[in-house]
Amino acid sequence: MGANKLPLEGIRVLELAEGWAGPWSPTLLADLGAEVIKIEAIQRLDNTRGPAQPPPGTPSYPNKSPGPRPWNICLTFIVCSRNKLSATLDLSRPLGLTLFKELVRLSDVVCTNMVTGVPEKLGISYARLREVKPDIVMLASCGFGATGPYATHVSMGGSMDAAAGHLWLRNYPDADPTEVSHSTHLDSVNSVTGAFAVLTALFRLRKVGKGQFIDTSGCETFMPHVGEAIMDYTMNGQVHQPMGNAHSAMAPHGCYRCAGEDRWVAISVATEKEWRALCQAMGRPALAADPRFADRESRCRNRAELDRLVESWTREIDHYEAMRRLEEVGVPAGAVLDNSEVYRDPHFSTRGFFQPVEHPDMGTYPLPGVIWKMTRTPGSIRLRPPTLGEHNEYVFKGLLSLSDSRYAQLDREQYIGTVPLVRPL
Amino acid sequence: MAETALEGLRVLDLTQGIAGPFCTKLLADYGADVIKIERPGHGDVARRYGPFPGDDPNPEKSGLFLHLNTNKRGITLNLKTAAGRGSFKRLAERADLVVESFMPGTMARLGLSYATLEALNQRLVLVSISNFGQTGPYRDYKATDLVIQALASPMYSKGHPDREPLKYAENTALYFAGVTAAVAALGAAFASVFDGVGQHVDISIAEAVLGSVERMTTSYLYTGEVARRAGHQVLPTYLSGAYRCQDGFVGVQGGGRGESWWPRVYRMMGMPELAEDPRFSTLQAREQNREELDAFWHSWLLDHTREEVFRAAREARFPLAPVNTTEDLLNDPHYRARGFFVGLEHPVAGHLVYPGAPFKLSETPWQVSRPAPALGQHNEEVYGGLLGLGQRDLAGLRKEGVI
Repeated sequence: MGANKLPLEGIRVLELAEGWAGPWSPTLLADLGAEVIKIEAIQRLDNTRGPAQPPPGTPSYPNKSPGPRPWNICLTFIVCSRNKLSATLDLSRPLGLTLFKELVRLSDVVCTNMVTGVPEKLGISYARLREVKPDIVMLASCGFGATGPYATHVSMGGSMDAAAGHLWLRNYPDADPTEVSHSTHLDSVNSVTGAFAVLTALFRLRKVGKGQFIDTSGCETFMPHVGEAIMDYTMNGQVHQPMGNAHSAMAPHGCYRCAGEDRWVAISVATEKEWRALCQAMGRPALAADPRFADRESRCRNRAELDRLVESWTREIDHYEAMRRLEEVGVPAGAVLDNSEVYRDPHFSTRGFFQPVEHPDMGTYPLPGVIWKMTRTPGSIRLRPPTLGEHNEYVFKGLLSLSDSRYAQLDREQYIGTVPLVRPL
Repeated sequence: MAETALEGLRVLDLTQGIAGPFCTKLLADYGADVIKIERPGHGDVARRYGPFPGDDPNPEKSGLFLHLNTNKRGITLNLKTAAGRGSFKRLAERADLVVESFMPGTMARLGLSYATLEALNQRLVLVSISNFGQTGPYRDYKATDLVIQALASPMYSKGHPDREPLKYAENTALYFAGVTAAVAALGAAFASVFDGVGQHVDISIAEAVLGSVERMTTSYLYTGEVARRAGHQVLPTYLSGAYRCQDGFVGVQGGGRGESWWPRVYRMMGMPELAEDPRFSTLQAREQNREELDAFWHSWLLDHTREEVFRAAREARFPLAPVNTTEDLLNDPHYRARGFFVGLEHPVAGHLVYPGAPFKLSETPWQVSRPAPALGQHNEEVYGGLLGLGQRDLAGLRKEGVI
């Protein structure tokens, strides 16, 4: 298949975002071929770049060694920054703001994840940007969105997890919320939904030449993901309670201990055929006829007993082996992989999910790659994560046509740079 | 009806369950013409899953199905018959996207491989959504949300250290894969609509989750350390997780900018002076005086209601929010003010309240122009309007069990 241009080639995206939820939307757009320019001030970097001088032994760096330019290789930044360009610009001074608006004039999309009200304070609200680029698309992503009583409230993945109803539901049935692990799932949902949102607005931009403002609340991006729980409440007044790994209509359905230290396999059985196959695989075909487990309802009713029986089988077997034996006979089962096993797993490696990336400050590591496989516009990690301000020349001399002397002046006056000025926290 | 963002994009939807239908729901809710194709007599498996109003298992009243299929037109078609495949191919000639979620290999067995479809419509995009993708050793593995989470999510490191790993709630992995597939599908639609390039898009539900949710995989490479379950871990650098207050729980993540959150915490508690107090002003001091700090924090929380704690957090600009149940979500004044939940009328299921727009477009808003289709509801409209079939043709197809 010939080399086609990537779907979003020719689209320019400016990223003024930090953390995970903000930058990950433009990452997916970059994977689709958009030119994404991440803009930070050397006075205030994306927090995922970590502190300017982290102590040795900090786990976010290769071999826990931060090296001379730790801001370029801090873990979350690295994972979020493939296929992007990096430019620096201090927007808090008038000249910086003017230059930013010049860039907006040459762009299609601006992605932000500041708290509602902050873009206004910085002079980069949608209304201001539209004055310089009438058909600009602006993604404003914030925990509670751009309107409503909590619009200006600060959010992080963990607090959105609570506010959107996820934290309550993702727990052991007998534990209270204070026992639950931290989760940033809401950041992931927010950002992938944000990428889809930008695509819808871009689609219309390409068709009719009009831009628009995208108001995204992280909590609202997630709520449709528990749609059936919401509908059960609006239909029946049923408030869903945490179920751990259990399922209201499937049993066995859980996570069972395997041989070895802290090894587990997840098994879920929906149909009679799967149930019989499981009994066979466990070497207990007679169990299939046991009245306690004769149908789905009985199995759900007697799930505790059933779980004990299943685990008495799994605990003698390796977790991968349990998965293989069950999948071979058509029972849905998955080894619970830790983050070292995921890298070695034959399936993900056969599909080339991880792609080795070489970086001057990091060395070479296989990083998670483009999520989808497309036959004609495949996408890949075509640009390694950029170093801070690596593309300043391209942006200011190339795109904005500034002279060498103006560029040098920007650098001298610390509008731009490649080394952080203050300790980012 | 206001203008929509994806007007003019036509999608044939062969998916069922959750991940595929959520992908096509997103396209439909923002304006694509999604034609949902179901098996005559049976329909989407989601029709058999609840919740049902009053627990009455009517396939036209499944809350899951109603939620996932808004704005789609519904037709029936038996792809196992030659006439059914013929009709499908004629529809495919007039479509931009086909989205399917069969087990890998099924489309080819039906005689509807990408190569076949491409020959009919060069710029057609076929999006295949499957558990593990169209290739690789687990290609034919069966999976549920739980199984996906085991292999591809941070499940191993979630939960209590002395208990089994704990999945995320309900079907969230499948929904997550659905949005990811929507990004890829619409991305590929750009190449199709604007560049005339059709192609086959392979979405692995496991990789969708692994790619965006499990970002800590890389931490193992960096440090050689496996991420393990820590339960509710409380670090002296920041607060995270849920805490009990007077009448419920609040959830917090005061991480990221680390040190700078603490003055906000003290301000929230009405004790701004603690920021200058040598016992609590630095990380080291807080570590040393951990018990004292905990006592302040917990007693303040227990003296206040969720509402009071949340209001104080908003004033102090600290990332804290109430731990909400679905009931709390429906009653929250914020989501009400934003009109997040929407009431829809359905001819069989009646008036019900649904989750609404995942994001708000200023010019081409999310809107529901039709509720989820009844099985085969739009047969005449689609076969008549798109393929020009008349009443007699349709009666024939019905008789042969094609529709």
